[in-house]
Amino acid sequence: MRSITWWIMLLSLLGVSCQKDYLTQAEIRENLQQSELFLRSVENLTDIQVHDIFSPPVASRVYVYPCVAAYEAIRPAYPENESFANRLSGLTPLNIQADTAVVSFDLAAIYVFNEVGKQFIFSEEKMVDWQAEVDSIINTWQVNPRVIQGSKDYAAQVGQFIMAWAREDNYNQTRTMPKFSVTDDPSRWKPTPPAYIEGIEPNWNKIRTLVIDSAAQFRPPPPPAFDLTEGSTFGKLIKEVYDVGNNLDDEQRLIASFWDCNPFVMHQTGHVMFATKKITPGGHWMGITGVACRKANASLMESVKAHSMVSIGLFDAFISCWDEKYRSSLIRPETLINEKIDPDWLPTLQTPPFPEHTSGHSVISTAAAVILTELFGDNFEFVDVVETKYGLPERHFNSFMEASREAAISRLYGGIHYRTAIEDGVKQGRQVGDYITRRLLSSD
Amino acid sequence: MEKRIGILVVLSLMLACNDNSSPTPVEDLFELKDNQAIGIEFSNDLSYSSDFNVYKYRNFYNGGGVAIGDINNDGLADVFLTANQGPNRLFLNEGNWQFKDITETAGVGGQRAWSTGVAMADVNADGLLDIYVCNSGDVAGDNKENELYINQGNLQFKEQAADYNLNDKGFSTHASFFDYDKDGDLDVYILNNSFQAIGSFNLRKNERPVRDELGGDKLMQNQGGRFVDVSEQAGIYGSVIGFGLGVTIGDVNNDHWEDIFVSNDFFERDYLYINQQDGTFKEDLTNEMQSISGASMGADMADINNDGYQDIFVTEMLPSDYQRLKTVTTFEDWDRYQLNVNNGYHHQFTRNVLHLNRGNNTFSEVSRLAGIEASDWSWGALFFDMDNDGYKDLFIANGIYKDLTDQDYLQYIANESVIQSIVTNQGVNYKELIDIIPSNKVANHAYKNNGNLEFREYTHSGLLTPSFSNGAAYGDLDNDGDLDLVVNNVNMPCFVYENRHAQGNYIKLRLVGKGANTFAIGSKIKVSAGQQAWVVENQPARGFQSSMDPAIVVGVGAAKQVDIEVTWPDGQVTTLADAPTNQAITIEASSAQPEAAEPATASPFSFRQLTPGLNYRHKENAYIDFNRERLVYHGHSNEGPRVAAGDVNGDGITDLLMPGPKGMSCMLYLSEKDGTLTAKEITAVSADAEYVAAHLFDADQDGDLDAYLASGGVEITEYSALLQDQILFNDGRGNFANPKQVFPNEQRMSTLAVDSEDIDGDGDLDLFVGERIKIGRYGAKCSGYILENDGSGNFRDVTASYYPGLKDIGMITDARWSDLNGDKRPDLVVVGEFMEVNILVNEGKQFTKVDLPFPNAGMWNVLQLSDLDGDQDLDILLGNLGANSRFEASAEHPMRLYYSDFDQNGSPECILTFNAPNGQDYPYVLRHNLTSQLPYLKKKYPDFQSFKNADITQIFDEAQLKQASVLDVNELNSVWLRNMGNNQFEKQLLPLSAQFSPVYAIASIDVDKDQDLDLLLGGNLFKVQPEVGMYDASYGQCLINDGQGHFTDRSVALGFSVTGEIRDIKIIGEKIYVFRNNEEAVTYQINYD
Repeated sequence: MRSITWWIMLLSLLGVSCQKDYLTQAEIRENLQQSELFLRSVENLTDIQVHDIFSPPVASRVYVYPCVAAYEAIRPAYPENESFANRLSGLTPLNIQADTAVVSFDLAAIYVFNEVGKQFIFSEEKMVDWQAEVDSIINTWQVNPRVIQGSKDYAAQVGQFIMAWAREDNYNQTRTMPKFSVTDDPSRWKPTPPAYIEGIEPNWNKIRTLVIDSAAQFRPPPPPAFDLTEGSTFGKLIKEVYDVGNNLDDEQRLIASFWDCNPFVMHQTGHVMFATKKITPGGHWMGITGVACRKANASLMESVKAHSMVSIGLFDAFISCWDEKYRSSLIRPETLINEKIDPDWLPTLQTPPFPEHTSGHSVISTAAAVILTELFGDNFEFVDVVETKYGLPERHFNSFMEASREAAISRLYGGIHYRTAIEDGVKQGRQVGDYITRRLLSSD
Repeated sequence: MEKRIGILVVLSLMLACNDNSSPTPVEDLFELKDNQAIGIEFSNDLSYSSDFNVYKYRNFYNGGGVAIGDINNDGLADVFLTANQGPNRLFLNEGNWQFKDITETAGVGGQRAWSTGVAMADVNADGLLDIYVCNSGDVAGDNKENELYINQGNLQFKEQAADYNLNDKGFSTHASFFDYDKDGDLDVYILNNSFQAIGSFNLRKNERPVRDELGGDKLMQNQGGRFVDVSEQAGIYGSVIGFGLGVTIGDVNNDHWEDIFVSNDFFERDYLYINQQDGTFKEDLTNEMQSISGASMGADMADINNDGYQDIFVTEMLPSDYQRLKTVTTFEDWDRYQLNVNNGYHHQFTRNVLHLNRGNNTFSEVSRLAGIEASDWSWGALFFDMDNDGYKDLFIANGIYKDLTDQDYLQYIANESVIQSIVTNQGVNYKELIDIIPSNKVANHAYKNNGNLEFREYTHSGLLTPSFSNGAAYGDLDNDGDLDLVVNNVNMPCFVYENRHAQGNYIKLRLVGKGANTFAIGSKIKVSAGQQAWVVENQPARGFQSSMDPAIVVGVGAAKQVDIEVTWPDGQVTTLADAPTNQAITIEASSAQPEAAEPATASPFSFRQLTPGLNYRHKENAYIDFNRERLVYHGHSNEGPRVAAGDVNGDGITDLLMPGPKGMSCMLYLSEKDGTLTAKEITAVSADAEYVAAHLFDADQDGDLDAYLASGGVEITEYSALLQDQILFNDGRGNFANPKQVFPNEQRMSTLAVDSEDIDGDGDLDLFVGERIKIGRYGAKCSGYILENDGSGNFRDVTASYYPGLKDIGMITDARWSDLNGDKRPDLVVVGEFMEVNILVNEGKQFTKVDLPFPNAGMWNVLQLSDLDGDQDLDILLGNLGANSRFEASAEHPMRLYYSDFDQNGSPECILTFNAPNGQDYPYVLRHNLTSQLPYLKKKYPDFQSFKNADITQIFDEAQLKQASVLDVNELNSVWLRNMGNNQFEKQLLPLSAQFSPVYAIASIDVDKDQDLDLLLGGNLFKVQPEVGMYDASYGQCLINDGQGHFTDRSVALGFSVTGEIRDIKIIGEKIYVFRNNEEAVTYQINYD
């Protein structure tokens, strides 16, 4: 790409181009590929999410609609990729006439991703800044202004189409549904120290699923019977969290914090507080998708497809998981350990503000890994650099499944989940991931 | 004194000269002195580093204190100021506003690190004030022993803390010397702040009873000059959860033994220790105080309403400025609040509190009524009579050098910097983190006490200086008989204010004690003139980390001469009659006489609580309104019981019918001849309905009373058949049969108001039924129904023909039929929340609404009709929200409820607003709570700054507001409407105590047998969002009528005092039954001697 740019610059300098030579569709495609504008747009969306603070399930929604929009926008240029219409609930075929003379579907994918993303985040000025940067980059490419405009117009139409579909997903309705109510039931989840935040998204199972037929389609087994007597199944599970937490080795401690993915950790000293913010579990897997795309040198189309499928997997996996969380509404180990074993015990990670069963990270990581394995193959080695900007180290994995297994068990090391929530969560995530790959990759 | 007269003369001359000219600008009461000119150059300068800062040391910005006292007995009060990082300073008063820094020669600069509080007291009983300095230590947590500077009498001091065993190693904040055991010497309470980091506490663990040997508060008994820790045997808490920022000592129960109030920061509740007169204390706060401040800071105790009882004011952090409220404040949510309550931390709220002492070991929290609940990040509060008008005014030193709770900093700014520093430095650079915290000076607050619990911003006090202020102390620095003020500031020069224009008269007292208590700490001074009396306790340690001038100045207003009564710590009394005012008097304890026992004047009648009384306990189901409707501040699932009284079995005695809340049956209590009542369960209706009101009337003209049960609340779905009201027909013997369909059609609605009357003169009783609330849609308009009886108990809806205006009239809470204008036709009064008082005059075939010529849109809870002025017509009593709330409303500036489905998601929102002086409506709701309901607004207001000036017209566009229904309230006081005849009414306020809390129950009874109707009121509302705060300041009121409708609250004197949420008061014979929501009913009887 550098050679092309030089060539163009040279031509202009020499005044050779008395009549402008605009980039062809193929050259635009090549520039987009080289400039990684799509991957960088996903990263930009992640950064804004971190700033604006989205809970993990809501964050998955912020990813999925821009990704699907990009996919539906670019797909017509690559007919071998079938539309998601009629495969995702409520999504009808995109019925937009695009004049291929003035529309670059590839460019439009970038435009629509950012434009739809802007609808879901709050700090719009940050997105506007990024869109301006995208424009200035593209402006150095000698793209026919009519193509830029045509692609933007097309992207705007796709964006409106996708937003109309997104608005029907019950998100607004769930805002005013009842809060989680705290009761005296000893097995029932209650807010945890230090911030005692209310249960996040108790009605997330009312959100429209995209591929799975309902929130409860892959309903996991309930948690073991609540029984605090020593030696009972549940008693042993509590004790295990306590013992594991007290005997972490350095590697386990590293694994716990590597996969923490808590978007808002509150630190309090007296009246003064500060929060550290990180990307969500879903954001981490979107990042891994980007890592995989780079490593595999995936085309723009392939990148968009991979991100779309992973984001769909995350979205449905969160709904599936949250459905069970507020069905079983199980109390966190920190609460029980403080009550029954050791009032001073603190988990390695801050307990997130929602019920315990099943482990969200286990469900969504497994679902994402299943989809990525399907797309990039098993034994796909990669170096996870996703959270280096948040101060975490790089980490090497031999496969997506290995990474997802580690993410899952990290919640035990972190002291925030019982083993059953992890094991049942992994199974639940595999079912969701398998189902989604089957439904989205099969040809009708 | 001569000088003072000079000023007065000059002032009056000036006034005389200016009679015909334009008014002179009002001069400020206090003048800020030039520090350099007077020689008090002091600034508590703080510098933070990456190693030592507010993250590492949570009290970094708590600042220093001030002590005022005459250390060389030359008649001039000297000034001592503590510094956190620099040396403390002692300034010798040389007269004429000239001070000399003698710190070095006096040797009181201090060797220890981080000085906090200071107390001046004569510890070694040599007649000279010593200085006790509390220290909190250095970065390593060392070097924090407290220092005791023993006055050598030659302007030099010797540090001898260890000799006295007062070199306490805790994080000491303050200390207060007093003689708790009345053995004649001074003991001391040392207030220590916990060592433990705040983030590491688990609320569930009750650490209060576990003493922390290192830190922890301590009561030290003076045993012959050596102080010994007696905390444990004296019953003083000293645990790791003690975050004491204020120790305030005084006699709260007027037994002449000093009690202790400790204000605790953070989650720990405050302590109120009552002196048991045997060397021990009983911590009794939760029995005596209902609501307390959350993060309590400094406190002061004084008699602010001149009733002879010590009231307590505690500072907190609630901003008074709207923009700051919207950017630096968060409130606990209901669950978190309940967690605190359930774990023993009591009802704590984010606001200053004013605990008004009722004189019967209970307090009413009236800060919101007094208008002093919000003064930003506040430290030292001091009650003192600034203008000598006889009312103690209030000064609050406030400010925090860094806005630690700035929400944008917390959510959006800090972490990006944290992340960067983590990445670059492998650790948090705290200095950089703190650099970016906003720093905003806030003006100190001064409130003028106008009497009647009315505190108003003291605009011309001259004290409202923007600053970062902490400790403060008052004293008469220039001996002119008014109190001057010194304020210690962070990173800016201290303030020395000269009181220049106090207008009232004063009396100044120097007390000389007996034995080792040379300054007679713990004496009580009563100054009286005619009917007026002022009570002051001699306790110098007050406010925050500070100590007042032991010379006492009492403002007495216009009084020319006064009687003085000093009750010394040993109980002996010195009296001085007819002392001319405006002079300083020294009184010695040696002059005292043994106390003459005052003959108690007992009232000829009093209330006596009967135990056992009526054995009835109302029990609410567990339901949290705010989980469903998050923008609603008050609960509506706890409205009953409204009890019906009547003879249901024809034995000539009145029985009671209690509506059953969800999960509890309706109950009939049948009266026996001997006055006992027998309970009988009503099984004809489901116990799963929330019956809130019962009404007895003869529906079918068979000569017995039938029962109307109103099903209300909000905890049942709007589609449930359980919402149907029921009529149960009586078989004449008090047996109620199964209900039958008597209404024109099913009315599945939440009701509360019901009353019956023959409105059409056909001999049967017709009904009014009022819809209370649309379930899940607070703010939606509800309707009233007039139901005509066919004579046999079948009803027909005739609302449209009589008064169609009842449709969508509002959220009806109460209604009464009665002839108000003497035309023998029953008129109808209907009231409700966000409703006007609807007085509907019966014109025969229809009703006409009376146009009331005064603001009357209220949050009406209840109404009652009684002849209060003896003119033989019925007046209208109306229970409202009262004046002790976060809400304000007037005709000029109404409170409004905007109700609409703003985001069109099928579920409407209600936004409550207040009307600012600029005429715009601003929402009470904070940004994060509003955007959780309307997430799209987050785009409009991506941070807290952007939201802080948004009024309702900016938040919503014109089209949205056009669609919204807007309900106004312009009257929040409980009132009665005097019936002037001819459908004319005049509004009268009920007494101030009736405005302490919402009124939900009104009964009239001639308590004092003087042939007029007195009143019993009850109220309170506990299910309230923490940001608004529960209403609990009412203990019921007994209001005695003078016959003209002027009422005096005599509840405490007569012994009528009931906690809880009173919902009805029923009187049968001599018995008074007080019904409470979710609690036992209380039974009283009036005893006449």
